[in-house]
Amino acid sequence: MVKKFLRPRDVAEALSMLSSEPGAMALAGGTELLARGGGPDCAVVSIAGLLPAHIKKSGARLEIGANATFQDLVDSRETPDVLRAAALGMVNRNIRNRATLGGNLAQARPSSSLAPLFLAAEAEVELARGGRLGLESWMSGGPRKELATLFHVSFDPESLYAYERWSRSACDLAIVSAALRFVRQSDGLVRGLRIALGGAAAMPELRPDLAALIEGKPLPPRDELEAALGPRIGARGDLRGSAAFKNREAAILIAAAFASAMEGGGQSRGRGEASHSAAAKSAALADCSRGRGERSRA
Amino acid sequence: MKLSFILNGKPISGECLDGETLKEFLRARGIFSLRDGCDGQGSCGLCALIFNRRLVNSCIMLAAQAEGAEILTVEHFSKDRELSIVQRALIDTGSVQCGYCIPAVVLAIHDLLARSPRPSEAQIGDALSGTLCRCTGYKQFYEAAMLASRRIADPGHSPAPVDFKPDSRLIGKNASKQDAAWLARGEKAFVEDRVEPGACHLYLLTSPVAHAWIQSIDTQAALAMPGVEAIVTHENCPEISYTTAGQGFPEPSPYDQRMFTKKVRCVGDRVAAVLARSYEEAEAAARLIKVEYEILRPLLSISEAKAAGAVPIHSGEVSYVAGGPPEGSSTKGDGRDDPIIYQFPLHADPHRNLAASAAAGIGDVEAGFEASDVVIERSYSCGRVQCTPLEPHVVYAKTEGDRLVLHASTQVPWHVRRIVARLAGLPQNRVRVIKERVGGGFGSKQDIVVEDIAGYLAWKTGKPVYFRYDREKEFCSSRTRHAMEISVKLGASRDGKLRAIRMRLDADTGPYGQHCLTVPMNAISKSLPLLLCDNAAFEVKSYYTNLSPAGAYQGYGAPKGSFALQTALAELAEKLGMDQLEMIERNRVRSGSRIEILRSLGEGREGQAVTLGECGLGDMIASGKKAFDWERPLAQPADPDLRRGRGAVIIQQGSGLPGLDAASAEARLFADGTLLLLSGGADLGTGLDTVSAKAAAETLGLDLEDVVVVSGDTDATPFDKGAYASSGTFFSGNAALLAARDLKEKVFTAAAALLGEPRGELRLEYHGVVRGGKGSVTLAQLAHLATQGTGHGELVGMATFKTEHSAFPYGAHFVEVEVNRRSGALRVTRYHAYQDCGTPINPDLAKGQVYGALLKSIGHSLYERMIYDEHGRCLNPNFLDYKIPSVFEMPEDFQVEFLPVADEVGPYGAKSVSEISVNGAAPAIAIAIHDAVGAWIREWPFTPERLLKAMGKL
Repeated sequence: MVKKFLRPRDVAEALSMLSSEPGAMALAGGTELLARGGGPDCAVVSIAGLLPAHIKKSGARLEIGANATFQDLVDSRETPDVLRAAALGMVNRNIRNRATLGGNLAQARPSSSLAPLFLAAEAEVELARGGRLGLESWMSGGPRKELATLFHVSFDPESLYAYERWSRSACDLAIVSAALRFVRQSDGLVRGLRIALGGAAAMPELRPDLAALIEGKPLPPRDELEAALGPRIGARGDLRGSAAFKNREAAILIAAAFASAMEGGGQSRGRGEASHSAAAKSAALADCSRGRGERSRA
Repeated sequence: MKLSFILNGKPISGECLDGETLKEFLRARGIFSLRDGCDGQGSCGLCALIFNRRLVNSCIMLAAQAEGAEILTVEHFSKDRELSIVQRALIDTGSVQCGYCIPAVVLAIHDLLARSPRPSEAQIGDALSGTLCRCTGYKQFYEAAMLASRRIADPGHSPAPVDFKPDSRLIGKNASKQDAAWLARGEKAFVEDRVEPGACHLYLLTSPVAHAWIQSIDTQAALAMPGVEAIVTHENCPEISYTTAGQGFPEPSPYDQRMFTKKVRCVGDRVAAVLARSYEEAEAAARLIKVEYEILRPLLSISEAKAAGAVPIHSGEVSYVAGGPPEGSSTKGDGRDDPIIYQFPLHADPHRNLAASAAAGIGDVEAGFEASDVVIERSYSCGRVQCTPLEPHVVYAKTEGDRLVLHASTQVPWHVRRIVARLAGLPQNRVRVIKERVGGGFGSKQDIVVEDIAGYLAWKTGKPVYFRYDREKEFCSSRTRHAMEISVKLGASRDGKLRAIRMRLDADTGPYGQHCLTVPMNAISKSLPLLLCDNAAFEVKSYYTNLSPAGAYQGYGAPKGSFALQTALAELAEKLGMDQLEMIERNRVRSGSRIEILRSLGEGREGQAVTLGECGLGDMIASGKKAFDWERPLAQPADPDLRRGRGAVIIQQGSGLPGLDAASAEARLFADGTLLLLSGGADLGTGLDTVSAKAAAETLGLDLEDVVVVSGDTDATPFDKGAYASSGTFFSGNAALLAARDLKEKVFTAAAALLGEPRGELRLEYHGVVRGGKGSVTLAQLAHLATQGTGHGELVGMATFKTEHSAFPYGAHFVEVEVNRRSGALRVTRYHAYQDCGTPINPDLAKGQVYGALLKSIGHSLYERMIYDEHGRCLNPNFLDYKIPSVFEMPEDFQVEFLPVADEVGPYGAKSVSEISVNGAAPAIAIAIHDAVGAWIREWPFTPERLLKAMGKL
């Protein structure tokens, strides 16, 4: 269990505690860190309330506080549908109510609902110490990566975005997930494609090798696309699915993401029918989120 | 550290430890409604509270994080014993079963209604997405949320009444479950709430290896640890062999284990128990126990266990209390392993890993196959699934003077008493077992999993002992559904009439033989008698393996037998080019059928053929066909990847064990005319107490509110065999009915004397009035007189119910699925269960039982599976990795309909209802998958990966 609970007054003190206390971990919502009866034998530095939790939109740019919860993202009017769908990929509301963006992305679990989309959308991380890092570099920083305060991510209207996930049952962790960003030119060619996968490797990652198969070309027919992608996924098998199965499903998800991005005019509607995609529920829950939005403004 | 926050509207401050979770902090301050089903993993939601107006799990928060927060728990909504609009709605919709999750559900719906007073179904699902419930199937939670929402606008709104028995005042109508308000208020009700300050904690050290001799075990260092009171291992435990199966004595299960054994036979097997003043001290001491193992090759499948020359998992001396060993079997022990005692022959050969077997049949099967136009033979396989009651196995044992008292979460209080008394070396009258509210049992609590060690240690040390499994032990060291491999051979003439059936079944009973014969036999006895065939034979074999212990689980063996036989029947229909329902129709039992196969299915004694009375299967099939528009082809989605299919099956179960078991009750009339009903029955959240109360109230002309039920307390209530084998309503309910009738007779005797009228002239009228030709007297007056020096003595009715009558409940389940041929994704879009449970005593509670059973069986069919590595270690013993259905797994069109055929012996015509409902999902879904994509899938769960393989795509 947690040996020491530290409550810094401000971010500066938090940073100093994190560096001076051996093995100290930053504690936000705690849904990852504290699971299994109190969490690790270490000191935790409570950063709740110290970091921003706002969701601010200016044009295509979103600025999201590291302390914003997944449910904040679902509830906010500023959240684009594709991002709301990804936030709802964390299907359990009790967890969404506590889990923060900063905590989730810092953990960089293969099943993270947000990481693939943020990677595809070229999110940047603003560090408490100052300065910015690309999400990918930040996530690779190991378990004691630098404290993030803000995430910057753009959902540019010229681009199409999509997020898809596959799980055994609705509330299970994603076995594989895929996110895309691309521009479909008027001549039908795919440009600026970024593909990110979750569940295939030890952490969510961009897959330029997969993107290169399609970049600058017309989108191939679905079967062809899946056949090209599948053998190149290289997923690790685990108890949720064999490598062969995950490779197949990842290819299907990428192809489905292309389809849903184009159908949705840039915003994923998800596959709904069979992937347990949270996106399908996104629309259904919209009035719910509006409800909270209105009340909080009042 | 210092901590202040607002709890349920009042400021609270105190000291918390840095690592203390918010749940622990609040429970220590009397907030008992916070439950725990996942050991603080944050995956079950039963510790939920409303934190700064959001529903969160308190097990994955530190108390220190609550500084300055506003917290609401269910206690906030239960002020002055009032019920909130949500608590009331949950009760009024029959949503409260075991009640372990109910406080969390109350909060989830309150939180929802605060955000959205008129929620959509999607919003209700979202609100409940973090709460696991294994009992209810979630369906009635939706109804409760809708009802509460409706009552916000219209407080007087009531759901439409239902009436399955118009000639009765109470039977067949909905009423509040006896303990529902208690549970909805989140009050103390479960074993964990009975633990007193100063209680010692027991930690069980389990085996990390699947098969090994314990060469040496050194507890010296552990015994010297602070707080340690006692350590038990195979070296100092009682030299008594027993079975942990909570079955009637003499049990049809071998006595093949001692409390601790010299040989560990699965990962999770018992090695040592450490009793200490705190759990932490017990666990720390257990880490210092040095164990040296002589590792043996583990047998991790039936085929390995039955292979010639396989290492014997049990090698002790085999003896028989009655009868003797089968010819050719090995009985001589190796001088090292513990003895194995069979109470009577089970056709076993344990040294060849055969724990039990049976074979029988009727007619001439080979001649039947010869005479058939078409013969098929198919094999089906069912993996291990876990019962997962949200409250794990738990007991609190203590001494009171010269007696041992166990507060237990059990289905079988009397079997617990018998077994614990023997192990503690006590006569039965020195042991009292009090069944508390049970947070889910589903069969796993039919076994004595924790009570034996706790009871023994409480008596030995004189210390109060609290012993609770964690979730991992629940998976690896309690009981699971037997894995089975079943081969079915069917022969039929061209018109679809069955000429011969042969079922061969191998079961994997795990390291010990509890239920090793009866579970696999049940797979036969609850599937074969559905079909009429003159030539039928079966053979079952139950093997020891080094996988987790198997035992009873709702449905017992029936879900597997049903999967194999019903799917094979549909496969035969396909071969004959016949509609599968037509195939069922040609061969099923019907009113007046003579069921000859029951001659060979005697449940451990001589069987008898039965002539069925009225059978409602025809109506149930007709209802399903109509609802699913069976005669017309199913419309297919536009997306070419998606294919829909449908399937239907017929199912059956029993209602207790006729001729074997008995149940008793006592009805005491009080001086104000109210009734105390002492029922032996063990209500595990099923509503059995309410069934008993209704049977008594109806019989005695009382209101339900006039009856209080105390049940499952071996001191206070008379004997009952326990809650298993679908016996609750039929046996325990009948005992209550007969006790009430006995009381009624005594009332008439007393009233006849008092009124001076012949007994034959007297009638017992509502509300507790005995009326004769001339005068009348109330039950209250008669009971008051009983307390007087001039009176007629206490008015107590007492009865035991036993019977030779078999009351079979039947059902027809209809399913529609949608399969994605590309991805293997599968959705159960429609599930209709048509059930004949006789008269449903409490229709909504009965429906809740069915919904719960259906969703469990959908989980088993689609994705629940204990996964083992090559060393026999379970890789997914928790709710993150082993998924049980959440609210989103409910089929969109999910319906239960009762088509009752009253039983002549059941209480007011009732039969059993719950267990049968797990028998349909696997075969119906398998048949629907085939209908959708043309591939037969013969192994559950039907994962997308297996589906893709079956379709030849992976």
